[in-house]
Amino acid sequence: MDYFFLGISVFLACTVEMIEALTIILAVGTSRDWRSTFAGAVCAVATLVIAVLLFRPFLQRAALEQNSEIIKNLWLIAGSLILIFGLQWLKKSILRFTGLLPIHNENTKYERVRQQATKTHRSERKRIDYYAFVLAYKGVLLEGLEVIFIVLTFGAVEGNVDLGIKAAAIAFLFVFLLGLALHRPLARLPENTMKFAVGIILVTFGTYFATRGTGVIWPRGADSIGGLLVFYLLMSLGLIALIKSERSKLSTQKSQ
Amino acid sequence: MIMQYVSAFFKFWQDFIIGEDWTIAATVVWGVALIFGLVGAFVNSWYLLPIIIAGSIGWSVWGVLASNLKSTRVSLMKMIISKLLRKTLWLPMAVVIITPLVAYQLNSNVSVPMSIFLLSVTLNFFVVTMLALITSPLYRIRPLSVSLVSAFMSVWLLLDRVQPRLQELATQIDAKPYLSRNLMVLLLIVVTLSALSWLLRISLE
Repeated sequence: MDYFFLGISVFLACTVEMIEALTIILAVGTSRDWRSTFAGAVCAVATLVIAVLLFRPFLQRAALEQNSEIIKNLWLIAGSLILIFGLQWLKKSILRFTGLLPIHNENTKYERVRQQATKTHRSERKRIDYYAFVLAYKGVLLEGLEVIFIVLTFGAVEGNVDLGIKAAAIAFLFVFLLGLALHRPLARLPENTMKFAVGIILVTFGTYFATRGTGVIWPRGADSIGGLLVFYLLMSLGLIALIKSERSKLSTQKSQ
Repeated sequence: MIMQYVSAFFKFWQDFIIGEDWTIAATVVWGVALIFGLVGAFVNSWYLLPIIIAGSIGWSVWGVLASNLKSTRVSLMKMIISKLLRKTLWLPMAVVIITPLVAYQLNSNVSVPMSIFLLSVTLNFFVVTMLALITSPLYRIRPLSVSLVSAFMSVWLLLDRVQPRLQELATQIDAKPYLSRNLMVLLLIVVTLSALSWLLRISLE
């Protein structure tokens, strides 16, 4: 069950981030140079893969440690990081659902990046368009960093970094092939819903493992994760409904 | 120039992990540290972090709502806390604080771990109750319901923990001229029942 949530959360997180990276690649590629854009994207992916390969052996070994103190410390630190990170995603998705933040629109982002890329001067003499390369590299790297963070921390507490890597790879291929087929930003996928789901899962597992790291014993052991998931889901949905009603109530009071 | 790169590097990771609202990260760290301390005092407070998280994210989202409506979170909070202080806050707090002190009085030589335990439980329920009360208007939970449950749980837990010790100290207490076992147990029951009935009466009004 834990591995299922690990796989799902990494897959969804990777899909969301790769959609955003794809938007940048499409915008830069269509307005500048495809070869330089792809080169930047490939270099960014290579950087991320190297980062994972560097940390993977250490985390796998730590998770398999027989020493309970080391395991507890790993749970405490990684669990707290997952929790803080997940709360950011959850908070933003709640704010988007309540209308306090605008919904992420890939088409708008695509136009903005394309216009910015078009304005910047390009030297005709150079083989590589450095602007396109750097923009693609930075975009893919920053979006991919969040996925790597989830893969490494979540994988560390579950003792299975490889599953996270496989889920990320599948999501990457899925988005890449979809983008190749459609050749436009994937604006119609429910991005905020996916971020909400990832946020809930990360906060649930972060809470469970951070508290396990302090030495707390949950009443039903690992089965308590289900209860936590339901609690956070209900809390978030309730918060969305309440914020929406408070917002309309306070707006009415202010206008009177 | 090097310092600029170093500070940019740390700023990047700070934004990446902590994000714009540092209070959420600070609350998580505080919550985990609190639970760590409570576990050290033999209080298995597994329920505490989800409540702290619910309060923290409610507080953070509420702050965005307040700024969005050109109001301040402080003015919204002042309005709610003034209502709470008039009605409900002081009584359950008094119950939560008085009960362990009464239990402590049963034997002036109570051991250090027991005092730490009693103080930890007091602090535990005080924090949980405060958080629940502050966010109760947002979650539409009646503050009195929260206070009632919290005070009841506090007293129940303390009595449950103190009960074996009470039996053990029964003969010693009988020997003290200014304390009588029956009187102290009666006082404890009267305090608890009075507080609960008062809260019940207010909630029914």
